[in-house]
Amino acid sequence: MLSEADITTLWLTLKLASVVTVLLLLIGTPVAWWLARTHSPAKGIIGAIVALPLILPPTVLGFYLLLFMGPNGAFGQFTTALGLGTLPFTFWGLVVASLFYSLPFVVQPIQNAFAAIDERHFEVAATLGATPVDRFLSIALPMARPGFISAAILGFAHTVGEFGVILMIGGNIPGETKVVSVQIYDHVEALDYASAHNLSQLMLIFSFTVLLFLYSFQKKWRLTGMNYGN
Amino acid sequence: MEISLKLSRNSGAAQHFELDVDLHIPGTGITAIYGASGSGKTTLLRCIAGLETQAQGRVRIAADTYQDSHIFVPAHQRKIGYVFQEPSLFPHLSAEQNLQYAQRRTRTPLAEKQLQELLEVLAISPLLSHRPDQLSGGEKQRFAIARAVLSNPDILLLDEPLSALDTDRKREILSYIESLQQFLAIPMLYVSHAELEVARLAEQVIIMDKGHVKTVGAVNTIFRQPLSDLSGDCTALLQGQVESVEQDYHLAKVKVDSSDIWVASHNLSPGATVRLCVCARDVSISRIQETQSSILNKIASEISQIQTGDEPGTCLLTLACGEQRLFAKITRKSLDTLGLATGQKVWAQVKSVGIVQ
Repeated sequence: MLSEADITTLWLTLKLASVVTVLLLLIGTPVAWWLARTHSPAKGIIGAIVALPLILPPTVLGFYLLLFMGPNGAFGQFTTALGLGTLPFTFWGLVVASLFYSLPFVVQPIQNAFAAIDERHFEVAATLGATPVDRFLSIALPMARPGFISAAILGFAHTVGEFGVILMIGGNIPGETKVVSVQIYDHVEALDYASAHNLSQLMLIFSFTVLLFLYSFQKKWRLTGMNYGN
Repeated sequence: MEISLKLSRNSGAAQHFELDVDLHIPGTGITAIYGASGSGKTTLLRCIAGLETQAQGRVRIAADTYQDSHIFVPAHQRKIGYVFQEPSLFPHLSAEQNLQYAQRRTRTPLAEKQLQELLEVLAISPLLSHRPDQLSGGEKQRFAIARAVLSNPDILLLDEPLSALDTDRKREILSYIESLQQFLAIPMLYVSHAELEVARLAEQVIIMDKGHVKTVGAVNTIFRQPLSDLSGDCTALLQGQVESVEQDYHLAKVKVDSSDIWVASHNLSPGATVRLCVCARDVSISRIQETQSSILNKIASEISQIQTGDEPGTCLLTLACGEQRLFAKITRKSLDTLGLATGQKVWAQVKSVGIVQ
């Protein structure tokens, strides 16, 4: 059914989504914590920047990232100086782009979960001798667990479905940057509808299963931040 | 224990709140902080616990200085137990894990035997494996109290711990706090706006009003003055001794100075000392000794003060009966019809008497 090239793209897509999800949970948690608790006037700006990929056309995001990571871009010069070369058209280029692209899908559920925690719990913990770090680890993280589950699933699924950004900065290199969505596009362009069907069905089942899973357990796990489409 | 604090806060345009207190609190027993809502009771407790970082002043508890002009010890480093108004167990932990949360974070955990005793006193051992949402409000609050005690603090602050509970649960927790008080050697600061709680628990009372300390005194002396300007109902506190018990009628005769007061006998035995609570609205006045009345308790007393009541058309009488004071809330019409005046001898007819201890 699936050709070897298809399987390579599937494998690459899963690898990309996994790496991005793990990195985003690490990056997104402090950002979400700050956004949930700060009274700083910068909150509005940072919040808007984080949410930007929700409405920005992926090609626009991809275009700027291409410039940013290219040989004349700030980030491109930085990576070149480190001896890493430039990132566009590499796997890690896709990872960096996906971090921006999926950021709101990870930050917002966690942020909502943090914001929903009653300040009283932190005060109680403080009077029981818990330091600020201890309070974050022993109260905030476990109480926001449903938010983390939503964030991980949404971040992963959203990265799997990425197309426009990837096309802009990753192109079409098999085994390096060619993900499932791009492969499907290629199949259709080559009028190979049968192969396009095979992969598309797989994606359809995957997406449906993820959402079914999320919505079925939504109540049980009190999942938050499920109010985004893709 | 020395506390002197200043905190000024502007929340919103019209709401300016200023806390300005200077207190010495005894190192043992229960001290009640009493006052109407908005008088700054809770804010005072929060300042003592280090939860209000804006507060200026001095806080010294036992041998530790928690705050002065150079020092501000953060809440988690103060040896202070805090029981909040609403039971606030951590929902992601079981009842037992909530207790362990405190135990693990104190440098001086309670010995196993003390821990067992504490669980015994608060009667929570059978509930340890429950999750907080499986516990009733009263049970949650008992766990919250146990948790605060398990951090082995130098002082226990209780912020209206009963206000979220119904009357029966209140009575139940009050007796738990009483037994706790006998079991713990640490002082407690108990915030309340309920006179009955204060009368029952406290040895010393601090009365607060608009962020300032209005009165400090022993509970017996405090309740000789009418407190009606602080709360709707004015309560007198009488101290007496059970003289005899009439089993047939389920009544006990309590000698209060020269008067006899009949109360429900419950399990009172002769010789016991009791504190009685009499609400001003349960006291009516008669100029002669009624003999044809169902009211058992008629106390000969003398009107020592007449004040305007908190509701229109009412007035509040302070009655002296020996060393003790009673209050009566009557209508102004009755006052005029009976021609009552200070210095007059009258009979106080008491409809109901509460036993607080």
